[in-house]
Amino acid sequence: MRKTEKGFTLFEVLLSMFIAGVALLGLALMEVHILKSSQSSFDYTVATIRANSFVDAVWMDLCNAQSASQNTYSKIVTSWSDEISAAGMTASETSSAAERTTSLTISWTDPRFTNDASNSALTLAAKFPDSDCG
Amino acid sequence: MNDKQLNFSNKKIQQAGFTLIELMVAMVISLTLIFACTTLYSSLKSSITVAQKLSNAQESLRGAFYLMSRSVRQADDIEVSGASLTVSFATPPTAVEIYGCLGNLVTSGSTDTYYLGTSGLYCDDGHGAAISDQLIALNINELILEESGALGTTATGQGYNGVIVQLQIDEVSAALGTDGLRFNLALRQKVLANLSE
Repeated sequence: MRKTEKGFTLFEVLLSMFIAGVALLGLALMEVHILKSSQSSFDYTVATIRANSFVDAVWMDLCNAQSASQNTYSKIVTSWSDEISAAGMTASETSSAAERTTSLTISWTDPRFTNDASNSALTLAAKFPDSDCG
Repeated sequence: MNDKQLNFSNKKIQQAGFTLIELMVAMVISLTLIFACTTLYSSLKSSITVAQKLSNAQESLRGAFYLMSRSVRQADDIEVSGASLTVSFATPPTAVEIYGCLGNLVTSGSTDTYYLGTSGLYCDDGHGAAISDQLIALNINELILEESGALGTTATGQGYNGVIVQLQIDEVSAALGTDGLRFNLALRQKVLANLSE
């Protein structure tokens, strides 16, 4: 009396290994995605605070910043963008209407994902009150 | 029973097992799978730790910045002493509700005091109630404050229009640089009041 045994065929084993491999790759991709999005989210928070810092620097010296005869405003811009460059981000500022409105852009690159340019810039538009002091 | 015993002693039962090669191949395959899983698991764990630290730090920064900027911008005056910032409010305009750092309504002479404690940044709104002195941002291990007026000047007396705040969070010091995060907060209410005079 011979017992009949039935095992998996080679094809079935290969297929299941392929599926397991895809699942593992999926997990690895998810890991990269977690890191990327939490870093990007952190950078957004930091950039928002840094952009607000410029707005408040102008508020602190509103009269001089809006005076045409002084270059206080451009000094504030320089000092602000220097500080941001030192922190590894890039800043640019465009003001209009005699320094009453401004548009700030901060961009950065994530050292871990240098080839991904999306999700790495922040733009803040701000208005200042008219100080009326020349 | 007898039959079986007879069979056993007389006939040789045919047994079939795995050959050594089959066993080795199966072991290599399963070891590879186990190794892949372990590597993936440990790297997943470490990247989740990093993500957790980033999100904690983000929450602390956001909370500290939001509460401090709201207080300072609406304040009448500030006072810095060491790593402690006291923000005082004048009487709020009629029908305008201003809230302090812990969400209590601001009345004339209210103060919000931000200071560095053992677990992070605390705020005391001086209400004396159960929730008058609370931890508002975790993991902040350094708070440097400086009254500030015009650019680059550390104004003394009545010359200041704001404060420069510098926060350092240990867990993400690499992402923030050695100085931590430095930002300006202007006394907007005071600036506007001075303009209208």
